[in-house]
Amino acid sequence: MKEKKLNIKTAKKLIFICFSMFLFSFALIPLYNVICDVTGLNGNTSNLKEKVDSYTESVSSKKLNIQFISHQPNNKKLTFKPSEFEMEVSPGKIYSTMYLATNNTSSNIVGQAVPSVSPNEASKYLKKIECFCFEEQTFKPGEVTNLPLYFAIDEKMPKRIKTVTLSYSFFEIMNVSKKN
Amino acid sequence: MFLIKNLILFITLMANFSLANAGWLDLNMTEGVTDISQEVFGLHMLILWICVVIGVLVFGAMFWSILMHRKSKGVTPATFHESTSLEFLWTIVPFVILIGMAVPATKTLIKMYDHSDSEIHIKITGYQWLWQYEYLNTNVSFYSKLSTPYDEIYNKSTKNVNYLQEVDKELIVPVNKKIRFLLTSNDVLHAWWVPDLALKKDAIPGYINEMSVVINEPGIYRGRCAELCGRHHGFMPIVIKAVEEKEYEEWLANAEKAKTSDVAKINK
Amino acid sequence: MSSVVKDTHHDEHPSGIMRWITTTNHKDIGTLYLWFAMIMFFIGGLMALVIRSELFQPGLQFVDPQFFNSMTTMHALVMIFGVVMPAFTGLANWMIPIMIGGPDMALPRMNNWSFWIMPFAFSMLLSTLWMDGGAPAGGWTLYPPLSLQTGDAFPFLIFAIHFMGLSSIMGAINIVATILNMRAPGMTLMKMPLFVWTWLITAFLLIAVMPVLAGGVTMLLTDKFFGTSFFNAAGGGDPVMFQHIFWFFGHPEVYILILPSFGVVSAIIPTFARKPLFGYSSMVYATASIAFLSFIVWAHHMFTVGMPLAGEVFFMFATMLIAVPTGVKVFNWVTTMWKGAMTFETPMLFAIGFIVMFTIGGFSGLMLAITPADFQYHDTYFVVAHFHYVLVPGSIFAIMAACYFWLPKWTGNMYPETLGKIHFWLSTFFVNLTFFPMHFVGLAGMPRRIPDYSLQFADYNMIASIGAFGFGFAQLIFLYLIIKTIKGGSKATDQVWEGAEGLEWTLSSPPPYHSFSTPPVIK
Repeated sequence: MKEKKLNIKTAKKLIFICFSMFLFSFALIPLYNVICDVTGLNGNTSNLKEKVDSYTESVSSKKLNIQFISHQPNNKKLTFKPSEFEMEVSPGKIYSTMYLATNNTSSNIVGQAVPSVSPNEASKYLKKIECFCFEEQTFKPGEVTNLPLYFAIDEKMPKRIKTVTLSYSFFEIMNVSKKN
Repeated sequence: MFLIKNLILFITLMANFSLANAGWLDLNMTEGVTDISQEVFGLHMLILWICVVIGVLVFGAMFWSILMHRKSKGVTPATFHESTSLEFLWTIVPFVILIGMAVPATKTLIKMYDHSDSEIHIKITGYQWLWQYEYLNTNVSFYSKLSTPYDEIYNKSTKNVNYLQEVDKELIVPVNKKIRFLLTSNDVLHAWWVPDLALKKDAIPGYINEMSVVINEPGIYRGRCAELCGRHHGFMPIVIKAVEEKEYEEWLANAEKAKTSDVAKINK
Repeated sequence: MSSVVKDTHHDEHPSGIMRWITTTNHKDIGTLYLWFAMIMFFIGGLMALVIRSELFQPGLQFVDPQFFNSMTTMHALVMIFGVVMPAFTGLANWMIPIMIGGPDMALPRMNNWSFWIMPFAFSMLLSTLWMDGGAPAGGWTLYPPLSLQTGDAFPFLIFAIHFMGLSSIMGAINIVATILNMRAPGMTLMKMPLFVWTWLITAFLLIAVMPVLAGGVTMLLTDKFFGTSFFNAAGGGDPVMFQHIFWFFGHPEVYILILPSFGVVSAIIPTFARKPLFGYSSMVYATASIAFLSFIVWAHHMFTVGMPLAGEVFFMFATMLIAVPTGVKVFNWVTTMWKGAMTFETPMLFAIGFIVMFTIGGFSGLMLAITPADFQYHDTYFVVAHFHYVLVPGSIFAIMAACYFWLPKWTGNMYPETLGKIHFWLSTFFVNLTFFPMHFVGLAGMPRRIPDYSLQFADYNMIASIGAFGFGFAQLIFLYLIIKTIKGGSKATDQVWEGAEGLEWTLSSPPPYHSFSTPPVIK
């Protein structure tokens, strides 16, 4: 009988480990996002507004190229393109550029632009001050929309990175567009 | 009788292969046509030979033991069952070998991650089941998909030499120039792989990946999608044509002109 | 099977089918697990033969590409969760209580449950073959977004995985509790046979990682049906995140599939070399360090997803480190054989086959660890060759070795030795004919999971297909041999093998229905 109690006690401990590991698997998601924010693991830039004042001073002399590209669903409903392909920028300075979206259909398109940066590690040095990707976008039928982007490159950007590519993938939010 | 018949069939089949088919020669990884792919090949051969040497030593000792230390030879078994120095030795020696292996591997890896000073930027998008190539900073972009006819796939006609590795529109790039590829996907995961260039990277929807290459020799290089992407995963090949710089410039200029006139036509 | 309990008339238990449904006896449950694995082995094998038939020649001959993808997916799920894991759990159920001198498993009623969940899980999984949209075809790794394109089968797949996971977790809890609490007095941890040790470590791995898989597939389920976007870039998720979760489970899982076979081989080699196992304690430490390392190498399955340089280098180093403890094991086995007095009965043959071919699989594993070279190997047939070398002549051969080794003990009858040897030699010949050429096609550039290929891969694929059919049919010998041995044969002695040592050989063959009701005395 004593043995039986002992067994149940061991089993309880092990079941506890099981449950903690199950919860751990869900904890991996925020953990992963934190790791990505800190190390730029997957090139996903944080969708957070950066403080403006910290990037207006001390312009560094080194230059680097930043490229803009886009990806939209392959259905010709929407044309979504950067207004310029490449810019030469100095870290520490604020720059602005524009993406253009044209809705080729006769109904509203609602969606979200998701940023990605390559090389991945550059993502944490790319600071977006104002970006259309912070919120959902609604494009009215036939309308051409200018989507502004204000950004700066952190001076701490490693010297060996000379070209940074910023990509926006546009994803339509289906269930919302149905409602409209 | 059945067995003998099959055996004869089998042997004739084997003989046929060895004589008639170049397939027998493709035993090893390709050396490729870039500096890095040749380094990768070197690493592959180095680690292969290390494994072969260790294998010969370990299996040699084992088979010697199997031959000599068997009961039928009337031996009495020894009783030793530990030796700290011996066990220490075969923990340390493999460790040292591994360090020796890791150093050149890391060096090559660092080179592979250097994408600086690229002159041509091409965006590759994976679709179920074709590839899209966009020459960035130009208006040239096109889709590239399998061109092998269905009749060949369903065994209704003889298969041509480039069966399942031919496309309607090849990716054209210059030699001796650094080309940077940006990869993404429209739907599911794909992986863009050309063995001759030692390039393989996943295409992930919503994210971009990059890789770069300098091709040393003009030629046609064939690759495939390397990440399961659904029903036609086996049917989305990659064909790259590397040409001299001048030829590339001409091709690009023509392609741009063609595209502009296309757009003009549509706008009319 | 009745012969198993022939001499146990004093034991009260229901007869017929009810005996097997209600049983809480560790030997009965062990037998159930082993038969379940055997049935699944032939089902999974049949799927492999569908794959190899389609790949016999270039062109599409027999099946639709979608069904082909279903076959690769289901073959993997069936073989991993339905064959290797239950077979090892079966061996653990049969042998661990006997080896440690305990009366039964610690939690006998839970033991019954953990087995009987399995047939339900697998009926559910296999039923998807007849569903709209076909069986799961996104690979056993279930990478989104592709796996989310699965049709009606999707929830069934997820719940089948949940149930398999539940079953293995319950089994593992039982094994840990048994080993920790049920040992005979004097059976200290460092006196336990290595099979018990490797299973203790395996069970901890199972408890640690199966819930992670459960979490991962639950997220897939909510992504598909409840609008979450854990792995959907549009909603701020990342498809690569799933790969991290999956391989955090997946890599320890790989060792779950192989560690118990290290235990089996460490029992067989000393028996037939008539010499004690060399370096017992270093074997224990090597197993523990392999288990530990398995938690920090997962991303070597994902070298091509575009990790930062530092990540690639770290996972390359960590992966290469695993070669050290694995090497220690192989060296210890060879040294155990050195200067022994060996005989080569079937279990010994399978054990030696295991060492040789598992080591070949280990070598290709080492090659795969070299990240720059892995860019060329990744997702090609080279990888297929690698993991089949460690799983088929690795885990499966170890399971077969264990069956031959303990079959006389389980049934009280000797198996026909010549037939066993024929089975070994045929299996070895055909397994190499099947999987060795895959190294070559992989290096030549053939990706895995494709139903059709270009012409330069034709020859080796044909050879591999011939080998696969040969290997498949050779296993019918194994089935026949086992049934024959259960039905009768020359009587086995209690010790069975001349060099056998350990508590299981002190019992009668077959052992009484309830063994070690009073604990044995450990020297």
